[in-house]
Amino acid sequence: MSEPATWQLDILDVQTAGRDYCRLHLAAPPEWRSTPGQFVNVRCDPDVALQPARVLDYADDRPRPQLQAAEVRKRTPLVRRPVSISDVGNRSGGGREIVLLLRVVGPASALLARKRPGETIDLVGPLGNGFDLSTPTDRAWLVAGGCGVAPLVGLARDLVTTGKHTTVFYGCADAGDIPLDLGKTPRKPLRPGEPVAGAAEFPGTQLVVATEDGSLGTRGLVTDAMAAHAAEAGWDGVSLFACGPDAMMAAVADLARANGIRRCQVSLENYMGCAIGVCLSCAVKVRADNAQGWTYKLACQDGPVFEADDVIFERTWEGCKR
Amino acid sequence: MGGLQTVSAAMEIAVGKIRMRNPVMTASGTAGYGPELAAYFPLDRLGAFVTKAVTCEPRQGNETPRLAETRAGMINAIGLANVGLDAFLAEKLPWLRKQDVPVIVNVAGSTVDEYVEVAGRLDEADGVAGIELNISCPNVRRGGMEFGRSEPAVREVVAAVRKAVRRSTYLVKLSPNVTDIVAMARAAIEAGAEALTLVNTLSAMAIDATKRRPVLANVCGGLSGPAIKPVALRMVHDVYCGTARDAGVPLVGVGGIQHGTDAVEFILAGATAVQVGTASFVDPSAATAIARDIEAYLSENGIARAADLVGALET
Repeated sequence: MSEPATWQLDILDVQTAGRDYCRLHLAAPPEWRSTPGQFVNVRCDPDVALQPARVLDYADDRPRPQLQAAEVRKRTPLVRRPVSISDVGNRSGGGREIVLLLRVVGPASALLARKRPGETIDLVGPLGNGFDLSTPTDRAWLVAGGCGVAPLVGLARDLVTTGKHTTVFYGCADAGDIPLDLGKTPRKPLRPGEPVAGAAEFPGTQLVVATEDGSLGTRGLVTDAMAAHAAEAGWDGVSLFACGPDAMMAAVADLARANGIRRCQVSLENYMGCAIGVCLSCAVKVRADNAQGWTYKLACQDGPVFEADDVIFERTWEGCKR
Repeated sequence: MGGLQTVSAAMEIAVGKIRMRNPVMTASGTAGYGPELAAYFPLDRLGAFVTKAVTCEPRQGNETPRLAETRAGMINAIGLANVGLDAFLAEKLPWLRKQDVPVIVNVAGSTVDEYVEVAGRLDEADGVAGIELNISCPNVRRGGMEFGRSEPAVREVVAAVRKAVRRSTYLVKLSPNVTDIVAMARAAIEAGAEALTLVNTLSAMAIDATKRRPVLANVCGGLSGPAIKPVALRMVHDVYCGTARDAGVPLVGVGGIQHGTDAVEFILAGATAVQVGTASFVDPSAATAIARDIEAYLSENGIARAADLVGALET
C-alpha cells in the first residue's frame, strides 16, 4: 500500500444508490495502492459556492463574483470525514478509479453528494490497516450493516479471485435502503438465510439480505440471517469479515465465538478528528496483557480493522458502545 | 523529506532562549510526538515543535466519544492520554532530537510535585529547548485547569516549576476559562514564566437532543477551531497591553488559526509566535502553509522582519 498523502483527485462520476447513499468515482493517481478496508479522510467543501457562475445566470459578460477557496473553507464543516474505500479498479477509458460509497447523514456528507464530475475532491489517504486476507480457510463470510458494505466490495472481489467461496450478508432497514444494484428481475419470496439473485457489486458471491421490516430476504437482523444460512450451509471452514455499527459488530463477534469461528475481523466506525494519529479521538478499547486488562488503540492507525476477540464491546442502554 | 527549505532572516524570531526560523509552532495535542506529522512535511519547516502533554505516568485518557464537531469548531475531551515521562524520554525524544527543529515539551500533572518532577527531568534531558507548563487542560478531574484558575494557584505551581527549569525556556500555557486573564498572566510572569502561551481550549459542551445525552463521554470538553479565534485574539491583546509588553515577556498566540492572515492578526495583537492546532486536523501540513503565508504578507506589505509586526496594531 502507498504511504498516506494529501491528494486532489478528479471526480469522474457521482451516482445515487439506494435511498440515502451516493457513490463517488475518483481518478486514481498512478501510484495509488490501497488494500480493502483502508479509508480516506475527505474534506467536505461546498462545490456550488466555489463556482457561483454555475448557479447565477448572467446575461452579460461582467466579472463574476468569485470566492477564494480559502474564504469558502471558512464556512464549511471543519474537520474531514473518514470514508471507506469501496473499491479500486480499472476504468473503461484507461487508468484506474477509486470508488467511495457514503451515506448522506448530515451537512458534510450532503456536500460530498452534491459534487459533480469535473470537480475535484481533497482527501488524505490511504489510511488505516485494512483487512488481512491471508486467512487460510476456504469460505469467507462478509457481514455488513448500512454503509459498512462499502469496503466489502473490493474485499469480496479479492477473495473471489483467490478462490474463496464467498458469501455476503447485508442488514438494513428495508428493501429501499440497499445501496446495491440488485437488477430488475422480480424476486420470489425467500426463505430465511436464502441468497437473493445477486448484486452487480458482488460478482461470484452469494448475497444474503436481512431487512428489519422483512421487505426483502430474512426479516430481522443480519445475525439472524447468518444463523439461518448456517443451519443449512454449516459453519465449517468459515472466516468472518465484518463492517458496520458497533451493536452489529458485537453481535457478529458473539456469533463467531459461539460457533467456533477461527477468525473474525471487524472494521469499526469511529468519530475521528485527524485520522493521522495525533488527536487521539478514535480510541478503541482492546484487551491487553496489563494490570487493568485493556488498553486503548486508535481506529485510524491500529485499525479500523481489529480482531473481534480483541475488542471490548461495552453494552449500554443505547445498545452497544465501546 | 528535506527538500527546499525557505530560510529567510525576515521570519526569524526568538521566544526566550529559543531561536526559531519562523513564528509558527504546532499546538500541543495536535501533532503527536512528531513522526505522525513528519509523514506530511519535514518538521524543519516549523519554528518549533510542541509535543502532546507529558505526565509522570502513562495515561489512557477519557472514555469515548472524545470529540464532537460544532459550528466552526470542535470540542475534545481526550483527557491527557500520553505515553508517560519514561517512555517519552526513551522512545519519543531521541527521534525528535534528530529533527532540525526546537522541541518544546508540554508538561501536565495532577499535583505540584508531579509538575516539578516532569519538568525537572525534561529540563535535564538533551534536546529539550522549552518546557510549556500546561495549567489549562479542561478535561481532567484533578490538576490541569485547576492550577490555572486562581492567582495564588498560578503563582504556586509556576514558581515551584521555575526552580526545576534551568536550561530550557519556560513557557506557561494559560486557560481562557478565567475572569481576568491579565491577572493570571501577571501572576505567571511574576512567578518566573519566560513566555506565555495563550490560550488553551474554552470549556464547552455538546448535546445530542435526540438521545437527550451529552455527545462526549466526559460530558464537557474544550472548544477549539475558528470559533474561538476572536476570543483568543482579545486575550492576547489584553495580556500584551496589560502586562507582557512592559514586562518584556513574549506571547505565543493560539486559538483557531487556520490561515496566514489569522496568524498575522495574532502577531499584530502582540504575539511573538503562534501555534497551529485544529487546522492540522483539517490539513496535516497547515502549519507550513501558514508560515509561507506570513512570509508573503511581510513581503507584500514591505515589512522587513516578522518581529517588527509584533504588537504593531494601530489603535
